[in-house]
Amino acid sequence: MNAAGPLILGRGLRLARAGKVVVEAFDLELHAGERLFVLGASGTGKTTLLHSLLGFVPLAGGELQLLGRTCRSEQDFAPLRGPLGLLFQDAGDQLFGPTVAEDAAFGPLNRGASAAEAREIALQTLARIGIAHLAERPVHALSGGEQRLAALAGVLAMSPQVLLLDEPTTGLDEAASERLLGVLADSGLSMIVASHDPACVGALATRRITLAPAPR
Amino acid sequence: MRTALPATATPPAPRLRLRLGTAVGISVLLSQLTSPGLLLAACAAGLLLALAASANGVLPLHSLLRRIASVNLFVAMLWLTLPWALQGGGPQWSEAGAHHALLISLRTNAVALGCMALLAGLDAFAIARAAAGLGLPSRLARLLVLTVRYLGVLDDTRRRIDLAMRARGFRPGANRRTVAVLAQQLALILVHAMLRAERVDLALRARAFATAPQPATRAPRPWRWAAGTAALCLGSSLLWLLR
Amino acid sequence: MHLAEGVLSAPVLAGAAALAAAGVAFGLRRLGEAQLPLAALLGAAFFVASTIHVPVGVGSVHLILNGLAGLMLGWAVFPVFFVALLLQAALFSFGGFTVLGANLLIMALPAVAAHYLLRRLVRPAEDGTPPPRRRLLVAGAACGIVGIGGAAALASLALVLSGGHLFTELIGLLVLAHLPVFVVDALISAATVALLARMLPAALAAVRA
Repeated sequence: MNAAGPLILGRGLRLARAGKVVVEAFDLELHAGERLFVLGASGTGKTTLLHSLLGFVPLAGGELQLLGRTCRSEQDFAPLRGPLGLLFQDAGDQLFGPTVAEDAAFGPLNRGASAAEAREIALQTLARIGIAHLAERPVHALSGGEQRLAALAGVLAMSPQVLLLDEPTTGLDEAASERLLGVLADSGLSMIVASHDPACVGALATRRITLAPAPR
Repeated sequence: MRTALPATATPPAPRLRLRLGTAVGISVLLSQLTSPGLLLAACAAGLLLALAASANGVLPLHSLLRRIASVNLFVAMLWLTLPWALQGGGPQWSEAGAHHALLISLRTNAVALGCMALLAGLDAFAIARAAAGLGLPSRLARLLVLTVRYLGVLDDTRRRIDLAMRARGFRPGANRRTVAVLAQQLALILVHAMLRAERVDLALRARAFATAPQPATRAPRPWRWAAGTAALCLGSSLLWLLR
Repeated sequence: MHLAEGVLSAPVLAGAAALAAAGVAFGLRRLGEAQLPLAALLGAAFFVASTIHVPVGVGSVHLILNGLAGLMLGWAVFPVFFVALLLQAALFSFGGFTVLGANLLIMALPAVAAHYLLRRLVRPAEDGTPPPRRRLLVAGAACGIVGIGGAAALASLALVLSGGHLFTELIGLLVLAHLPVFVVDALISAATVALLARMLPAALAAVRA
């Protein structure tokens, strides 16, 4: 990791969703240890921002540096999916199963780990966030809170340097929500959290910015 | 000439029915033609109409070109094999084979271009409505409409799964891992489909679904059927005479 | 595996259309009203799955999966594939309206064969335990082999009936061109059947008697 510069540096970012510009002239910086909350009503481009940081939404303009490297093409972004871990808004979308442990092993397997190594990493990750007991459960038989934690385990199993979290507490009850935020705080990782729920910001945020509605 | 319609606006049902019916009709007629001259004329007419649809913005040019290319992939295989007769040591040019390849190429292109022009800008929903209007059995028509409705849902599911897999470092390549992951994608899509079917089933039963609901589509009037069949017969006998 | 318009002779087209219509009618009769949504959802799922690209060498192939669809749907593949082929002909110019009957037979007959040949292998035991993994893999691979192999055989038959020796080399080239999808379909179907048995055993239990 380059200790000197920011982990994420965006200058004059312009983001479009389905051909419509949602974010214009946006500067973004994330330094090591920061937990940046991106606030804003739904439709202001929070998800688009997170997806563009992984190269899923092409930038309509601006300059982006991730972990010190300038990123433009798919070739630039592909190796960073892992070092930058994205937790999707709908956990159901990112659980591939069949079991929780096998799901957590998905990322390590993609990076060339052997089946045994990947399983070891998966089980360690599950234990670290306190859901070791779910290891052999089928992913489709989990509660909402358990799904979110299992999905987070899948992201953490890739040992990311930065977490990108899309509405992590939406749809969770208070207990599940607190538990997830606890896990995030304990991880010690730098993160960008997109949220429209001010209650979720709590003590976790070290800095916050608000996305304004798109100019008409 | 059709007026420029945005691809999302669906024309009224009778027009839709007429367009699909005509497309099926010209497919049947053109695929039986044996005169290169007529077929060439049909190709030219089809190409002009398809280009006009493209100029009107109903059929994007790149998708027109891609479809022409995919149709002619088969035509290329035809020309690689038909005009050559393997005799003695090497391949021999065969006039009869070349003539046959020419006829098939012209028919394939004439039908494809004609259908593209006639059906330009219609989406799956419009096709389903048109087909239902052309007298499909009601259960088949309902299967068609339901399938079209779920296509969008499941395509969205596939897209999300694909994105989530790439977010966790999956990069497809020609290797074992890719086969395993794509099988996982397929299994997930099927599981999503089955789980949704369970929910649909519950919803139907919650609404006291017992017998067949009334079919939403109305069978075309008998005289139109008679007229359509007569036109088809007349056309095909004319073409039979011309060949 | 789609044959293009303008290749087959009129008697072959008409005969295939009549047989295909009978198959659709029979499939619809077997498919109860309450099972329409399930059939539509599985049909849509297989349609979507057939757009998945599998990298092979420098290019890529599309999955066909007719054997696997047959295993899960039985005779219902006839109406389900009819819908898929109609949409493909209308929206993408794959195949065509005149050859729809022939293409339907080519795809659906081997699928029905896969259903009757292989359903015993994948059915869970009375107590719900799935069959052993190796048997599932064999059944899945056989889906690909029966499905694509059968489709290639029927397409060849239609060509021979239409043009005799004229099409011999074309048949050879077509079969050669489908070798990659034959292998890939068998591999993916095998892994998918094994996964389905673990993820949602009910999916394979839905394979009806």
